[in-house]
Amino acid sequence: MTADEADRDQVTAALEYRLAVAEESLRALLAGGVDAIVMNAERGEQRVYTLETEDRPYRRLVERMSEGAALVAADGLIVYANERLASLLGVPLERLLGGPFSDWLDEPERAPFIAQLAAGTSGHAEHTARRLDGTGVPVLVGLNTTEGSPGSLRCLIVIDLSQQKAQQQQVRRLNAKLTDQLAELHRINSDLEDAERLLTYRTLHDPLTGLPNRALFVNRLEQSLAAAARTGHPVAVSFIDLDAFKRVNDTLGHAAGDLLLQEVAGRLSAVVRPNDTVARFAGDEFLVLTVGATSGLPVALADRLLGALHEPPLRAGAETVTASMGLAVSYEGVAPEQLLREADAAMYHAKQAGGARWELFGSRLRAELRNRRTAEQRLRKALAGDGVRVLYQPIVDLADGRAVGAEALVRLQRSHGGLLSPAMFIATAEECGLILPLGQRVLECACEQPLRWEHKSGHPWYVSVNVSPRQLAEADLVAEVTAALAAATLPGDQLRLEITESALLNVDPRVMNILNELRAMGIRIGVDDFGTGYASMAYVRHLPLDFVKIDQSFVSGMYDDVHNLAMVEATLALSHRLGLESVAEGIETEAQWHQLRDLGCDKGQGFLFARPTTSELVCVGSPTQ
Amino acid sequence: MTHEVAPDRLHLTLFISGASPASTRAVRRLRDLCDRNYPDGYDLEIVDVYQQPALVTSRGVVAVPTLIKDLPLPIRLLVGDFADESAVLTALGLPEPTAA
Repeated sequence: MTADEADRDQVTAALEYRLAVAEESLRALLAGGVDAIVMNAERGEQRVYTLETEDRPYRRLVERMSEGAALVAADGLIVYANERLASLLGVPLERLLGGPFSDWLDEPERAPFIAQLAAGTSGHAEHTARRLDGTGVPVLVGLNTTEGSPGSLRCLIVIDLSQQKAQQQQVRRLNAKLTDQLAELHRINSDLEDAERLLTYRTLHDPLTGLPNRALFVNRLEQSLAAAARTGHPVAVSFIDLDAFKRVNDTLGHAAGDLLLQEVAGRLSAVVRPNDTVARFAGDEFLVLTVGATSGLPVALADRLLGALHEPPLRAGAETVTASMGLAVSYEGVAPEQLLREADAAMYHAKQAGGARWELFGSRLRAELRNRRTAEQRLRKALAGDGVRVLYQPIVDLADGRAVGAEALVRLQRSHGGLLSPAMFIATAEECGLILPLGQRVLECACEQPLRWEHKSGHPWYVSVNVSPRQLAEADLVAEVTAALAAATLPGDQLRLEITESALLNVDPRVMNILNELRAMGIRIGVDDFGTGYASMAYVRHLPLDFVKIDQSFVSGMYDDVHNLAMVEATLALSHRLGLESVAEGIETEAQWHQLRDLGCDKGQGFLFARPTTSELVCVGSPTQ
Repeated sequence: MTHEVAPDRLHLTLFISGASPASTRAVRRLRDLCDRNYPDGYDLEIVDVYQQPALVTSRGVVAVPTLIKDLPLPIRLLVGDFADESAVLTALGLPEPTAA
């Protein structure tokens, strides 16, 4: 065969093949067995024309979706599968087609799957797919009968669950961890709640006795008063204070004092009714709130509470300790603080009357309390404004009657003119603590004066200022004095401080230090009202003192009463022995002056020489005999 | 797929167009037929004309489904959904099962 012949045969064969293809295609097309035809377009491209075009968009979707998809016949053979299913099972696509899907499931899962297929039901279930390489893949297989499909095809969707499984496991792990942490958090929270409860308890209770404290008592009192306003049944507040508790603490120690307080708490708690409240107010002060008090109750209540404390007697070491009690019954519109003040005032009154007794707050005490409040208000107003006046009473050298100093005396300016004397407000000032700012004010004013007087008279002056027990105990006296001296540029030796005898009876080391420091600054310290207290002689020599002031009550009675004279003589003798300067108060007659001078008294003051006057008048008219 | 084939082993290539009805019918019927008639094994390559258009052109396929018997020679071609089994066997050059 020539080359030409061979070529021709080849072309013929190709043509015959194409013809055969075309004829066969046409036959099948006419028989309805074809569902797509392939046409060669220009430039060698070819297009597929689907004869049943309506499912074409869906096919694209199916081919590109990320889930495995397949169509299976009722007997389980795969007639169509997408690439995703092939890759999921790790097989070439053509290996899938025509075979049963159940072959790709784990052995035990095949029969149930086949049964479900045969039943034609829809549903989904988890399976383990067996890949070609033998590895297992968790899958979710959804089965749906597609309506109108020839040969009742089932639509199969296969979803790879391995990632979800891994995530689930991760979630389970995290969940377990979270559960642990929640438990921990719960535990911490519960600990916190415990701590908070404890804190609340501690905030509202006294740690020593376990009784409610002041805050809780006031809170309950408020509630009880509100209830009393509704029911009309008044409540009673009992204010109980141990007599001389400080002595127990000082002599027997705090442990003994604490034991005593616990004993008191126990006894009081044992005799009150369940709805009543026993509280520790402060120190050795206890409060009892009695609800539903009736008119006959106060006496019974007071006897019951004090009886509990006195029988059997409270003991601390060898000492018997008694208590004083004040009782106040509520009335319409009374505030809790007011009722407490009233019970306190009644207790104070019982204590003043000698202790170991009780007092009911009534109209008499109410008036007293009101007066004290008025005095307190007046004092505050005076301190806030310009109401504090300081007068000066010259002190003379008894040898020649020449004024060398002056005692500063405080007065309050009355609103309608005139001055209020110390007797009207000093006690109140001591009680409410206003004595501290008041004393400081007087000190500052007084320090301004001596240099003025010196300038006028041409010789040195000193000023003598009273210091209250509370100033000594509570104020920073050294700092205040230092500041006042500095402000007035006054040398320390031109200032004297007078301290009442009662304040010097129990001098602790702290007060002793203060006195020593003041003296180191050149300031002279003296005892005021000497002889009016008790045990007067013994303590003087232990104190850092410079002078003694003889009370006017002894001076004025010297002539008539031999005891007063003896007192003055003894004081002067003691002063000389101890090297103390003596200053007599209340000299009103020439006879008193001469007698004191003859007895060796150094200085004196009184109406004979000058009345208390303003600073400007101190130097004018002072006798120069 | 290029692998060595024995010259007397039946090798078929079926062109289909995805899951369209005639194609799915063709796949099922062909599998069924071959399984029954060639229990010793056969190769069936299924080509989706959408997924492998190059093969379609090279084999001159015009309509789908088209079955091409590559081996044993001669090459035979059959188009349709293979509703008539005897026609298929004839086209493949095989004796009818009843006659076998």
